[in-house]
Amino acid sequence: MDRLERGRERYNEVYGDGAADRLLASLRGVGKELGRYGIEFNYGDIYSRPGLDLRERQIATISSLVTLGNCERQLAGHIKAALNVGLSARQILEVIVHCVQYIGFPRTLNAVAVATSTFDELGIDVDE
Amino acid sequence: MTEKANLTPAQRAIGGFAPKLVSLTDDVLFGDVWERAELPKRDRSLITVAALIAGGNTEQLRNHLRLAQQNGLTETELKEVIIHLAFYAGWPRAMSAMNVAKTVFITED
Repeated sequence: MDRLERGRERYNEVYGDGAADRLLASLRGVGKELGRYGIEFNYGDIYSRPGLDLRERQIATISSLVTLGNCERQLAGHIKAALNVGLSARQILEVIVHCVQYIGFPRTLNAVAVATSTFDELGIDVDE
Repeated sequence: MTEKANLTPAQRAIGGFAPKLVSLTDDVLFGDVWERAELPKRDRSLITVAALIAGGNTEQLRNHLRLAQQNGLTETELKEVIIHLAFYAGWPRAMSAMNVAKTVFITED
């Protein structure tokens, strides 16, 4: 299996059936090449390596996106991915809250807001 | 055991110079946030290391890689976290983090 095909499989494992093709279809022109790079290199190569499982990879990814800030769309996507690979909504919120020590309240509160609206959209109650 | 051996890392580093920051570090961060039950310490180390790599905080990464090993993450797993984050945080931060990891793991092996 080539790297792009492996990436497509791994991407769909994380985001759901057909997700890789939906990503590529949503991009235009040179943007499609960037999408293909993401699927081919990131999912076909890095996500397919041993050493960390998909749950651990989502914990690391969410922590990095929260730290970087201004990645709301990607954060919402990876929160959904994290639910797909076995993290609960409560655990995802804990991952974000843990980051407050290292990145401060502004970016952490923004990330909690993204998570809360993502869970609302999915009908997951976070007030329990 | 000497008196110094009983000090926390923060007390040893800046205890006399900035006691309030030390007490917040020891009591609020490690005493409270790190002790929350919803995630094990191994996951909390994974989060911390990822945040430090993405933030480019190489100075703090050194000690947190050691703490991560104490919390159950292996050298292979920690190197994989750095590789994993290269496409999210960019190559400069991944390369800087890997240089820190190299000094930590090679010194200690």
